[in-house]
Amino acid sequence: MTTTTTSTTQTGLDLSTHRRTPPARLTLYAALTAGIVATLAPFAWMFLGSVKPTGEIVAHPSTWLPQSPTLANFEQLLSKQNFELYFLNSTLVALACVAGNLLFCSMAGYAFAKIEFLGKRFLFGLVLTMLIIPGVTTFVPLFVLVSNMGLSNTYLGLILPFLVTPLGVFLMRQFIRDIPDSLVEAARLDGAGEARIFLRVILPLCRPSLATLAILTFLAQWNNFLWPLVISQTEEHYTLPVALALFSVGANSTNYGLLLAGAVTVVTPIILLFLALQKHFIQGIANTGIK
Amino acid sequence: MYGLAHPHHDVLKKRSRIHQVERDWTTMFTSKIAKTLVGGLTAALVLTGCGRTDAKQGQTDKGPPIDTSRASGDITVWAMGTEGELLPKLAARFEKANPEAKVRVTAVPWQDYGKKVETAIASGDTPDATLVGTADLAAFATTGGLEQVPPKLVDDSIFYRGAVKSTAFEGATYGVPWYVETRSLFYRKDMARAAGVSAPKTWDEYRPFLKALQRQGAKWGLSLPTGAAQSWQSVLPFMWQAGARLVNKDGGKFTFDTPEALKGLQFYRSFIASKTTSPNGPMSLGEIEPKFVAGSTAALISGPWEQGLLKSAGGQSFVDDKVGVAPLPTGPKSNTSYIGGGHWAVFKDAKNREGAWKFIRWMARPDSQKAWYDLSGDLPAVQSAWTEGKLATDASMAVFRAQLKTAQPGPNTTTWKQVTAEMDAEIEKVAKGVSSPESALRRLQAKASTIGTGNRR
Amino acid sequence: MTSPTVVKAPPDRAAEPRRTAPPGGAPGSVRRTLVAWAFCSPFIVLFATFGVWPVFSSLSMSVTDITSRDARTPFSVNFVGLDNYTALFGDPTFVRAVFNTLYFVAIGIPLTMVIALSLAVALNSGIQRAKGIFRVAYFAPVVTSIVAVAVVWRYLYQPDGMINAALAGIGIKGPDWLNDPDWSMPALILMAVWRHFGIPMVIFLAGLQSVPAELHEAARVDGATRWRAFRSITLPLLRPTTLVVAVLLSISYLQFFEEPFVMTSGGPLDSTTSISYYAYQQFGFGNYGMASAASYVLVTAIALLSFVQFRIFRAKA
Repeated sequence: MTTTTTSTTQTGLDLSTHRRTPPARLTLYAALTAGIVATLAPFAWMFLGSVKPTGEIVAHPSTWLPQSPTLANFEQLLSKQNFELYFLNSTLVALACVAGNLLFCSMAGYAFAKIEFLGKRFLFGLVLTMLIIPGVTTFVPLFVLVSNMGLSNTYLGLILPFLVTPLGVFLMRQFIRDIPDSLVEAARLDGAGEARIFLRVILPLCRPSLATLAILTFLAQWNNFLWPLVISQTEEHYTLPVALALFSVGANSTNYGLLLAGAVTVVTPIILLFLALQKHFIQGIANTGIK
Repeated sequence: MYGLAHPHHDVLKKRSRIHQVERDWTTMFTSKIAKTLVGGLTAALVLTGCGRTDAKQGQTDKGPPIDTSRASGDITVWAMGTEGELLPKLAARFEKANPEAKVRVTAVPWQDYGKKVETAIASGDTPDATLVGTADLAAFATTGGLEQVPPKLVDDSIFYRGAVKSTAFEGATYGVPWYVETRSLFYRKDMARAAGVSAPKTWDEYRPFLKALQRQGAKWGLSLPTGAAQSWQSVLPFMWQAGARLVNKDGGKFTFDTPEALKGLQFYRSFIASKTTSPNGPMSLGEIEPKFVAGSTAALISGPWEQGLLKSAGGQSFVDDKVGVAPLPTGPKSNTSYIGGGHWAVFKDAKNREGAWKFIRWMARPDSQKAWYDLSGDLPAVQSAWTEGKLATDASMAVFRAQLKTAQPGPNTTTWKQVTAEMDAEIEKVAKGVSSPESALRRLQAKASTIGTGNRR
Repeated sequence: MTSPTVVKAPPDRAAEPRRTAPPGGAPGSVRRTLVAWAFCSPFIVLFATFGVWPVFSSLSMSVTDITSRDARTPFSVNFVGLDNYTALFGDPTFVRAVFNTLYFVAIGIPLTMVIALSLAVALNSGIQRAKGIFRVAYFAPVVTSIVAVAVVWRYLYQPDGMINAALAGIGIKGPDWLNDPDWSMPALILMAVWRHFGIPMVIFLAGLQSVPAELHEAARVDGATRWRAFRSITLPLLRPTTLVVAVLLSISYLQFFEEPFVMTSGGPLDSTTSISYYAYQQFGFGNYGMASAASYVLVTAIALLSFVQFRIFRAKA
């Protein structure tokens, strides 16, 4: 992480691996695989359930493999009016929030981590406080506020309240603190302005943390139900979770088949996102400070 | 900060990152929260300057009567779930009769729709009208966000009595019934046939009937909820059937501590005590149907929608050959069941109240009600809509129809939802055997009295 | 080697300039403050509007008798001081909810952290092949929909479900998890751990990669066992990461809500009612004042816990 420890190779424990005997490694693989089976079971059940008729999903005792596999749930889901629109809305809202969080939270995080300024402690204290206030508390006042701003039933109303999050600032600040001051100092001595330092030095170095924040933000927004529900006055602004609840949850019954097909539809993009970002995400905070 | 050059600050700077965070926390702790609290208190103190005005809202909720001319303009409405998906088809007929009017339906999920309605009312940002679950009407009317039904809009006597009852709140009417549902007894008629028993007509016949089904191999005779949310909807009818009333005449006081209510709760308990009913009832929707299909549970109490659920769990032939529907057995006083369904309500902040009420009036016409049943399968709230088609001829429809005549809603009080949560909790204690029915009711009465009905009268 | 900053601290740190020494000019100069505020401004504007203001409103609600009755006239309510707060602690259900929340946090956080860290270490050190697949697999519970999770876990926890079948395999008769007030909470803790360990695991993985290999090598050369090397080198170096994980987990675990909401409705017999669930119910009843007060009790609890965590981590440093 610093200029002195330049050759951080793979890991802390990696060296020991080379001395590890084959049986030990086998045990490790076996244990990890067993863990995965247990971990993935509910996940697999969700995917398998999405191709079962509803009767089979709730059947007791439950079975793993579909007795009469069917794509009816997906067909029903895709045949719903405006389904593409709901998908697009979800994507738009989630991506906008990701963009906002990445940019604004890293800007603020940079200021908190690397600049001494008047009011910093007060502001950061406020961020920490807000970090821990549960959403349910502020829900009604927030809605009244956004509605009075004339933003109900608009994309802005869906996005603005989540464009920055205290969590994003907290995380970015923690991560940017890890970047050695010497890098910032060197840039400053070269006469670079703060904006330039931020864009050219800081941002490239916090790719892993940006990936982390991107996934967390995307996950939260992609699954957000209550806010899009109350803020949209017409279906045009529904997001996927709202539409899925509309289709599958009745006053006295639940259409589990449709629900699971919907769940699969919702989860797949996140899995893809994680696959795409995990390299950045995990690969190297180690790489952050050394180049 | 401004003191960075200060030596003391240099020392601090050298400390660990974590310490820095911790220091921020300490600061926040000693000052931020305190400041925020003080600020909040001040704000609240300022608020109290306004104080509560104890004006009765009743009078101001009433709008002028609605004339009989055609509706015009945009009418925006919310409807939930399937109802919301199908309503545009019904509305198209209304638009044909009222070419100047355009009904814009937004389909809203049932899940958390109450939050949507309440936040909309709080902000004044509402549509013109909304569908409301019968049990939620009082909670919405409480906020002052609903308009009273204009005088003479519809004739109340055309609806089932229980449906009309649940539109009333604090002596005024806030909704127009649209569709209804009630609960009757679903049982495995193949098992009953094999056991040589027929559906019970009275409380006395209830348990022997179920025991006979259990002897046919069912682990449990009757499924009843045992504390899951909405358990009260299944237990309340036992109390009514024993003759209990749960609020006093003017609706100002809960009366759970009566011998009749106790008799009802004891009867509920007797199913569990005799191992006719599992002490661990269904926790979630969809849990009971497979057990009923498998024959491990021989009977359940449910509404008209149950036939659809059983069809998807067991197939049409299962429904045709093995499912019987019978009226609830009669207790010491009656066989009263619970009535639910949907009402229409108009918001005070409606932009087109006239159009909205005209649409609602139109939907309460027998032919519109019939058309809606054909579209959705929702049972008409208007009695005269039941005179033809499947509604008039089908055997299970006849059961629901008879049940609807006497079915009752829960008390329409502001705090009912809170009281029912307490009731669910007490039901759970009785079901699990950790409390006697007597002490459960005593506690429930005490809690309900503390909560109060919240009604301003 | 015990300070958490050791990774970043070069040996000649003392000789280095101050961490954030401004180039020339007075520290905290007007210009610097302006620049910083400019950097923060988009955040501040949005945060103040959509974050701080609603909190102020709700905090004021907690000292009034506001209910849904007052939704349209929120300013004509009565100031009741701390009555809501005293009423809360007079309600046995709420006291139980506080206990349940603490129970959940006290067991859940350490358990999640141990599992997440063990997996991270195993994934980081033990295997070369199929790393990506393992990572994604262990991350999957995080993204699985809560509805699917609820259905399948309810099935797993049946008296004759898979978990009890597995227990029977080793000669243990499993309880009726969700219907037994003593076992419902452990059941939900297990489920929550399963649902939540993915993100800490990934953060630990990232943290592990920043542990310099040389240190380890040196320790091993000095004859330290693997476990000792892990304890005396890796763990201390992971402390900043651990802190972030602990804080994130405290925040989400103290708001324990979804599991009781979908699995038990707070039962059986209030054994899984959490503070969040209680607040949610009060909001549902229209008791906005009480609900807000319950939320701020929770906020205080989270603040206290995080505060304690910072203390502990500092003390160890």
